[in-house]
Amino acid sequence: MTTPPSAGTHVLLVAAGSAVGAVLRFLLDTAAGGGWAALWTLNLAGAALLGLLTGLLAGRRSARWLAPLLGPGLLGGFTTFSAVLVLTVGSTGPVAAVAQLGAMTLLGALAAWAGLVLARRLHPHGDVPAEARR
Amino acid sequence: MTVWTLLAVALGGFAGGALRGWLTTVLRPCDGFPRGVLVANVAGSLALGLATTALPAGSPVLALAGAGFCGALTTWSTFSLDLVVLLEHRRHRTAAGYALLSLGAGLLAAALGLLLGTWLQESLTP
Repeated sequence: MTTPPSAGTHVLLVAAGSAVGAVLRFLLDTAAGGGWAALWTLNLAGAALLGLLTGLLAGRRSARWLAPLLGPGLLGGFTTFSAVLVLTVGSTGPVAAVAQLGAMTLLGALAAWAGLVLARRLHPHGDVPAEARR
Repeated sequence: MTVWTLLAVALGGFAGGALRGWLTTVLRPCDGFPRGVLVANVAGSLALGLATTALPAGSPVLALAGAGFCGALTTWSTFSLDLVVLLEHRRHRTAAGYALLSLGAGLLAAALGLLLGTWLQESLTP
């Protein structure tokens, strides 16, 4: 295991990754015309990729920099919580919207778990490092 | 979409990501409970509700504050992975509490933000 970067470096790495992630999300969301379909796609893809990344980087020296930059940074900025919640509240069918919110929570966790399981098969000697989960 | 809109999203995304990164640094997980991400997600939901109703649709300032700042301040991927980590550690009640608190407080915050933004927009319009 390696020591995590300082708090200031961690914040900068997350910010830099988030800037790129936010632009990718904006482009995808605009191309898909917004709404639920775009949010489902980017949130499930981002959750699966974060599981995969966290598993693949576990125990590696490069994780010190790459984990905050690509994990909470790129993928954290790519996926979003606020747009889903505002869309749910602003929806004309509140029951169906809350059901979609619950389904996205369950399937998001399932996607992250699937990514983690796949990574452990590809790279079986790691363990989930704390800094990748922040 | 102009290059200025993309720059606005990137700038907002940088600031939102920095705030979330800072929040997770100062609010360390308490007994495995991800406090920092919870605060970021709930605060970002309130701010996005406010921004979408108070700021003009399609404007670069909404791209900066909404898709950029609020979008990057909040996260679904870390929310999902933290739930998995809690479940793998057999912290089922903590995982359920974290999910329900995030969604419940997020819904209330988004509703409050939408109301505040509508009120603000109406009171500023002559």
